Amino acid sequence: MKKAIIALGLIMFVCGLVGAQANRGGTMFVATRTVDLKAGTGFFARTNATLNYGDAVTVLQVSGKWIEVRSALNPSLNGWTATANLTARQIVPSSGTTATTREVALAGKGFDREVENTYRQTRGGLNYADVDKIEAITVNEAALLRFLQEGRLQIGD
Amino acid sequence: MKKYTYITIAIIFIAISTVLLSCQHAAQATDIGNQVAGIVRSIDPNTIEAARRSAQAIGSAAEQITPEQEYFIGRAVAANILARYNIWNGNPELTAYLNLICKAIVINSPRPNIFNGYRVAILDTNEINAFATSGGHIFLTRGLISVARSEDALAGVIAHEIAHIQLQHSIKAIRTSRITNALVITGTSVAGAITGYNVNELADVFNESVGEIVSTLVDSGYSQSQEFEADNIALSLLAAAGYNPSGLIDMLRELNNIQSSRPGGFNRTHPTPARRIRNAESSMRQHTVVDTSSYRQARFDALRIN
Repeated sequence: MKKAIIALGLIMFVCGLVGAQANRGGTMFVATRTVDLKAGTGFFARTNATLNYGDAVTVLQVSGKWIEVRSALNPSLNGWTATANLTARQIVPSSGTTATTREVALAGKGFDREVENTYRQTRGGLNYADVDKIEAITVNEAALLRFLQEGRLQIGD
Repeated sequence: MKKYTYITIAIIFIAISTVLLSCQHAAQATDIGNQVAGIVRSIDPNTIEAARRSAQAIGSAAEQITPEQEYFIGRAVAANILARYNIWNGNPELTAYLNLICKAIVINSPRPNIFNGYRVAILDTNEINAFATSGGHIFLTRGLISVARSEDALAGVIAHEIAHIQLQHSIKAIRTSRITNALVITGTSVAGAITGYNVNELADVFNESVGEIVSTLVDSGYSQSQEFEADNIALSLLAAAGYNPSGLIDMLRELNNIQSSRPGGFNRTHPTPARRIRNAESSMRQHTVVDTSSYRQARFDALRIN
């Protein structure tokens, strides 16, 4: 039985290595408007840096739903985020600020703010004002932590 | 004993290998868009048209759409819903409370964030209903909230809507091939510049996409299997956050009690509460959670509406 447990542990270790190797060093892209790179795993870990939609990152390691990455553009920026905040598929944001990024942005033309503006002009009777009000809702982190602790809920580890 | 132990090890090994292989397949699936882009970039317009026609066969809208596109479609769906219903601002503390519940669920979920985050708003109607958009907007009606008897029951409703978002059900409601093809082409990173879509054409396709989703949300509803799937994921989300998953079943029981007296809305677009209860109860066996709901009852009672 003891040998079997050791064998099982070995198999899982090897499989773990294979999984980690498959991701480590790979490039991924930020899939949310901004993403906080944290000092450790967990929602309430300190934020090291914030990256923007489409920014490329290099994968350092994976732990459960968390992934440690380094900014491809600025290697001094690194930290942990939820793997779901990243995608392996290259993303080109629709808004660029320089000639070069503008050129790249045109290449990724899809449903964006410009299309929304045209849609709003051609359709009438839409209520974007309240959509904007809803999107302005924020949840204070300190209040959230108190809410979770008082309610005996999990804290996003 | 020894024989069974080795059989167990073999089964676990096969299971792990299968998981690793599926990850590889998933990565291949996400590469489909880039492959289409590669084809389109280097060839003539006729071939582009061929790629467009085959795009639907290659991948669905939900696989190809970018997070930013999902967000803008979600905003438009929300703008349509808010043209039909008013926001209820009668109790800002209750709105803040619902957003705390939502946040508690998502930060403990596999997808703690989406492009612009998740938010909850209350619709000013006695109708019993709830909607979610791919932009992270979650709408609960005043009528639905008044039915809840605990924070965990409210969390059950919100978790069900979060599940619809995380499962991309609204994007999967897009059926028209013209739209899915446009999403495949424009969703890829390099193809857009030569697809021939201008802003007006994109706005036209956008209008169609939004129309199909709003019609599904408000009139026809998602498929029954999608509703059961959202309930099952909701149970997992609740358990992961520390809520009692039975909160969802409690809510469904309340809805079952009032179903005959409150036609329309929820009843028109969802399977009956009785069927959802049966489905959820069979999935409940997977979840063992220490019931801490008593710690949350006082704050719920303080904000409860009738």
